[in-house]
Amino acid sequence: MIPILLFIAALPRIHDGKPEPAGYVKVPPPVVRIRANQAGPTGIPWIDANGWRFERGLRKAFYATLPRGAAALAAAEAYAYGVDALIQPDEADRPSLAKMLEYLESIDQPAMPLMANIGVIDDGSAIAGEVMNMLGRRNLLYRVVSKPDPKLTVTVSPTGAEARNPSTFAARIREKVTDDKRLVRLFNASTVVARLTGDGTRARLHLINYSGRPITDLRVRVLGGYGRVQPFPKDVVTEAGAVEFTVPELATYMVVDLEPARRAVSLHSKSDFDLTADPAAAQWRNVPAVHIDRKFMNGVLPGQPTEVRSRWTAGNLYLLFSCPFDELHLKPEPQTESDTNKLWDWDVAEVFLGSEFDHIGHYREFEVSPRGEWVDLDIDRDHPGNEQGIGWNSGFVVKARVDQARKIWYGEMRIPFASLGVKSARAGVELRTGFYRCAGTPPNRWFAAWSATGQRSFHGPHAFGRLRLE
Amino acid sequence: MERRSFLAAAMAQAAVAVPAPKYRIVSSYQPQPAAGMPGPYRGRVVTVHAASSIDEATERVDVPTVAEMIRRGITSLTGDRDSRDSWARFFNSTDVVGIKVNCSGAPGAMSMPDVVAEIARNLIAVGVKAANVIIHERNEDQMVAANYQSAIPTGVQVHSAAKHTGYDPKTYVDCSFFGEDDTRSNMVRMVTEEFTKIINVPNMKDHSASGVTGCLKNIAYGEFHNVARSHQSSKTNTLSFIGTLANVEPLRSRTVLHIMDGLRGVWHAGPFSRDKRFRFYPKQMKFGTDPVAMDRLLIDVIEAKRKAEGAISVWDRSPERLNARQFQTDPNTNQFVREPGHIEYASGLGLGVYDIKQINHTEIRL
Repeated sequence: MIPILLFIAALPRIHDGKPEPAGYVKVPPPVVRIRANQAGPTGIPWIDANGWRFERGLRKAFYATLPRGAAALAAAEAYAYGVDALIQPDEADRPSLAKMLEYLESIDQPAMPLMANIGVIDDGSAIAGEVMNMLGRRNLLYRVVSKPDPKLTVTVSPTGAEARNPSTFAARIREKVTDDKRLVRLFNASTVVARLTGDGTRARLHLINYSGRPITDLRVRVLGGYGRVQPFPKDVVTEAGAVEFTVPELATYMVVDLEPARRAVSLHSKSDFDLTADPAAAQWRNVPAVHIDRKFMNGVLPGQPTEVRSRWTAGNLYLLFSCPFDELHLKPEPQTESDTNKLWDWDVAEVFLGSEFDHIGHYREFEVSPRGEWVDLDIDRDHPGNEQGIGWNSGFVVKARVDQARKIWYGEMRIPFASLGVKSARAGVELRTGFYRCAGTPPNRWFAAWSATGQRSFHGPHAFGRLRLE
Repeated sequence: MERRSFLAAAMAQAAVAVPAPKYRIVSSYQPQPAAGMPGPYRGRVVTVHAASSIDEATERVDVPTVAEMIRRGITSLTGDRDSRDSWARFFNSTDVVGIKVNCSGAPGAMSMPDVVAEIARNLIAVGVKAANVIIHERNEDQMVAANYQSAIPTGVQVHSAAKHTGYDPKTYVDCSFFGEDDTRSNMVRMVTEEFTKIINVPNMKDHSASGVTGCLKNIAYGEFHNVARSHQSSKTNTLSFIGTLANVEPLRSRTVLHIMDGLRGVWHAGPFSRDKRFRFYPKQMKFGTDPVAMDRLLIDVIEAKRKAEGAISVWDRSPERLNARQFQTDPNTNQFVREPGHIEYASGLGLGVYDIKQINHTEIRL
């Protein structure tokens, strides 16, 4: 899990010339083969992959005279391992190879260090190579080391008799690492090989599908405190120290980028206080703000951002939104005695709050408008039949104020912790949180997020950040 | 006690005493009090026999007889005079009902389309919308082979998990049996996200790994994926895995009724046997809410037939009987060391009554 080798490799290139390119080593085509009873005790398909060759140091690969159907996979494999590769495709594969190269170019970024659980002291032997092949095949992430590294879970030197059956040896290594500590686990696919790179904050997961056909509903578990997963797959679950998600369909190759969740803090207050909707009030002065500064699909939103501040007491969570505006888009005939359905069609500040980290699709939505209209909803994206929707009432209260001179409106909320499922509010408690803003008059309506959802809706709990009580 | 039954009892004890693999169950669903298995009729089974239910030569089902078998079975189970009152005890117009069939051996061995169709008609009669009746199985090719569309009422849906909604990534049992890479078995997503209730309609069959396949096996291995990994070489973990899976919420709470189709069965080489030599015709159906009690009686049906055919007992664990190559043709061989003890194991999880003396069994002959 520490930086080892950083390669800046060119994208794979097509080699049309007859002579073999100098300095490049021929590698076999990547393929899957069904070899019943020869692929280890689980009977999973046999894969010819080159990852182990690349990990042990081959940096210039020549995929010569590839069979039909292998070119795009070869390009993906080389790219995933940061190898300088030349590819001789079958003529029929040129369109799919071009498409793959286009994809690789679109995702290309400087390589990050390789992440691994296992260190392999490689003596260059065939057995050591096959052990690495078997580790890679089982998605037991490894890297080659010259001596044991205490930062890795385990370091092995596959030279003795115990390594003579590389498949069994890999299985024993897995037992030593334990599945819970594995950096990556894949479910519902037996022909996908993963490679993980990262810089200690961000990570990039490469998923290479050797099967030759699309894989649906690939389930992925990555160890680490990543709160944001792109390109926004479905069924995201974050639990102690890991994130899980489903890739709906994996064709030949894709990368998944993982980033830490955005973070905000709520400062403790010994006693409850009256709502003022005023950042200059004593209870709000010197409270740090986070900014709703992203387009909800992604990208930075130009202009002055919306600010959000938070405080908490034993019983309540307080939020203060400071919302710059050019013009207000207000609902006619406002009323503040009860929920206003579809308040989100007008100017509002919103917060989504969830306390269930193993069921992130269940959360609560709170909105306030510049004139103090409000709505609160119970949302369950996983079990829509269970959610109470607008029929749910949290008991939260709001206050709003418009400063026309400064062109800022303020909305303040007091939300009972009991309504959020927080049984005991104390320092260190975290809530899964999204802050949002709907503003502008059609057709110049705009939508902003603290943590972009990457979809045309705020309801993307996979992208929630964290609000920590301090 | 005959030596054979004594051995069976001893073997069941031994089997149950083996420590179960370490299971990790992941589900956000809570049990619904008093709902599901073993349900309101714990330890109660009604068997309806009808000699005219199926023609052995043509394997043609007599639909009016089946309708009467179902009427008598369900009313006897609940004690109602009108079968609509019986069905209404379990289902109402707001329900989305999954009918879990078994067609892994289709078309030769399966929950019969005419039986399933009659169940669907009864659901519709008590107000369940036809579109909210969903006949399902895991694999698409099996559903195609069974051809339920040929018999069912208009509007009733037929889906396979593989093609329809897939599997729920958040509801699964995690366990490593043999060091396999993928250690999860996920629940069919229709069960977690669409159905409010499930009717389990297994077919009476012998099973190479679990001994017999009835209510428990059909609802467990049939509503989860990646389950074949529990067998390897001659060893199978069906003993504990079947009950463990059946016990996972929401499957346990939503499975409210079991109707075992025993018009036609398989007495050897199940569950996939295509060999007509191993088919038989018990010409009966069993009704209950307690899958353990029903499966306990199923053992007797399969054992009696095997004994009549001179085949070894489903309890036979002899190493010398293991011969995977001959299993499909020789009823005196085993593919795996069978685990009919899975039924008693499930009883230990609270899924029903295993003790034959405690089972309240009513038999009706038409």
